[in-house]
Amino acid sequence: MQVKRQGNTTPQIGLTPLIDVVFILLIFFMVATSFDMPRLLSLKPATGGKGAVSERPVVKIDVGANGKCFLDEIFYDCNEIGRIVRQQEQGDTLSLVTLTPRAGTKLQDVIAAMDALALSGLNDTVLMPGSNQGQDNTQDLSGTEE
Amino acid sequence: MRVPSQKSGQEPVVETMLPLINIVFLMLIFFMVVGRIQPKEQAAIVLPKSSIEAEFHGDLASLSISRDFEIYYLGQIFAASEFMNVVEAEKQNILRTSGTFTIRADEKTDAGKLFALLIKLKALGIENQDLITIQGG
Repeated sequence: MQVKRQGNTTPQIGLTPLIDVVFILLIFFMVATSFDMPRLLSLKPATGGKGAVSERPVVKIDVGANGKCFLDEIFYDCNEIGRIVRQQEQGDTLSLVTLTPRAGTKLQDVIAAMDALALSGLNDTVLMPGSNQGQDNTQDLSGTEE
Repeated sequence: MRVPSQKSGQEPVVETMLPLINIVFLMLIFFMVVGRIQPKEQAAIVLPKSSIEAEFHGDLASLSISRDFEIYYLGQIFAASEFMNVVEAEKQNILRTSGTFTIRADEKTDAGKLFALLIKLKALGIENQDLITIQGG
């Protein structure tokens, strides 16, 4: 049997299907990928009457809409609230801060206040239900004191 | 005008495509390494922004709350009162597995309603409650 010799021609591998697949993979990753790294914020809600009463001085802050915070019914910018609470503290004992959202306050407003407090070293804020939630607002402040 | 053909000495098409293929490969590797595939979530939620440092390495939240306070849990949508009944029924399972609720809530969710819900969950024994946020603020 006579075998046909290929001669000097080198076989060509088509790159087009590879490029097609790589482009599809690229488009998939560009569309499906997120660069926002989520974070976890630990929440400490009040215990609804089951915990111990705090021995630390308690500072009650009402959070209103659009970055308004109320401390002893005086209006402050929520960005300043951490610094103001720290100025009012006597001695080295950190105050226990409670945050109560007023009617219509959005979650972002409260988180902004928590951020400002955390920047001043007040990390363990206790979350109270809104004053319009039909609950007893004199819950034990034992989010961190058990 | 005469269009030059490959026979008349022009480079083959594959060679001119090589820089493009290189760049596409580099982009592909970049997106595969740096990015993170977004988990599929039922509710369209804009996460709140926070500057508090604590990274989240999980994928899915156990609980999603929309801005209209619809609660997405175990693949279903609940109102707040129905949700508490479900959690009460599932309490033993929840406490046995992790005992933690990772909450994904919209930045415009009513904070008062949300905190009232968290207090009820805590009263049921679910002490650990974490909120997913994104960097910002």
